[in-house]
Amino acid sequence: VISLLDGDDPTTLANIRPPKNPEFEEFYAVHFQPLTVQIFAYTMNLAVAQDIVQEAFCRGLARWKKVTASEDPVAWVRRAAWDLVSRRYRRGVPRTPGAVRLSANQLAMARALSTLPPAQRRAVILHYLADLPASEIARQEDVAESAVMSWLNRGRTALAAQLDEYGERS
Amino acid sequence: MTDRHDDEMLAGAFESFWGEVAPHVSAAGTGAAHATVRRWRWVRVTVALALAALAVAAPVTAYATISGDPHGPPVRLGQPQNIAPVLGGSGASASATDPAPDATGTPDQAPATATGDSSAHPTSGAAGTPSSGAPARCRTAQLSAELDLFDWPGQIGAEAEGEIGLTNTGSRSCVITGYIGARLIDADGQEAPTTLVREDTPPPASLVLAPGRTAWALISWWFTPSGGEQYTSPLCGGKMFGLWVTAPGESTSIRLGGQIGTVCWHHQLFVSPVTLDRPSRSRALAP
Repeated sequence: VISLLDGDDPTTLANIRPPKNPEFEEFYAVHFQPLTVQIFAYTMNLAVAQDIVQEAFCRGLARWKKVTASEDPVAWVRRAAWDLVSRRYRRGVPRTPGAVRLSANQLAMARALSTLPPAQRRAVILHYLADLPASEIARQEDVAESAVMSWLNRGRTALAAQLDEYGERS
Repeated sequence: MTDRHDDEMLAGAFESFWGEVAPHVSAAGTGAAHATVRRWRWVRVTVALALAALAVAAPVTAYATISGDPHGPPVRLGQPQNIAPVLGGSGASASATDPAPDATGTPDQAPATATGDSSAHPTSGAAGTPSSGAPARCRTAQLSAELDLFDWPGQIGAEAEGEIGLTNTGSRSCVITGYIGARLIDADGQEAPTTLVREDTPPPASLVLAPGRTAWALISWWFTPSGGEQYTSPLCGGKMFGLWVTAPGESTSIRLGGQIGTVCWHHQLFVSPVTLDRPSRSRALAP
């Protein structure tokens, strides 16, 4: 499913060309959606998440040889995307509309996630949505594995408590 | 309740979160990605100091001569005039209300030294601390400037970035601290009203610039319109073609050419404090 993002420059229409790089094509097709859902879980803004992930892929494409030579190209793009998140959010929340209509359960999840401190939130998202082991998360975050373990434990406990509470109320 | 229980419950919760969100995701596509990358250009413009200094510093010298007091009081740093470049409202030429000693040609004998954050917070009005041994603040006359626009993100992202380098072309070390000033130049060569937003990371630090060394400031901007700019034509006031750059604490500017492109959110530029590390070599860009 390929569609243009809302709000793009109309000249984008001129840019649809036959695939140039089949390897990138496949890489993009497989990983765009999962990465976007991960970033969305953090930003809760789908337009911003799509935008950031697209930019991360572009950065990867611009140095594609280097990325494919690295031991884990997905990790490269994921890390680029998360770096973009922290840079963009350092100056406050972008005022781009990008809300997604979610069910009550997912709203509860979103609300619970948003109460976690950023490091815990990232760790929990990377663990459950990106399926990364603590060692991988530690590498992406540039911290010791023990720090990730503690973020995960605290994040898990806080999240579970909030979701339980919600479950009991409803 | 056990950790194990939490873990299973959360795994299930995230799985349904995934299931609900994923169908909403729409990708701009690899065609757009290729197009973006094609558009990325490195623009490297280095301006020889001699030209810039001649164009900008000459009026200052003239003024200093007219006002006739080359032995006036030491330069006071952090004067209100230093705010002007930050707000982007001042004219391109120097405001020489308080001629600096180096306007008479002796940059290294400037009696004042930038201390700490005086240039990082120009509104503080703090005076420089005289100290004969320490390097003096970097003056415009001993700096050359360059502008590198990163070769991304083209038009799919929302943010474009570049870095401004200030190189010490003098023969002595000097100190540079805090934020540069920058004002955009439009297609007609006129200054465009520019809003500068200072980023506070990394925290401003005093850097000693040895001769030949360069201090870098990251600049970035959004090239997608704000709500009120959706229907502006040309978009966001048109493309920008250069910058007037003012070194921290200085009141004279150096003109840098080069196509900047569209700067939305009412010509808003984000600037980071100067660092010795090149922002383009930082982790975000090259893990």
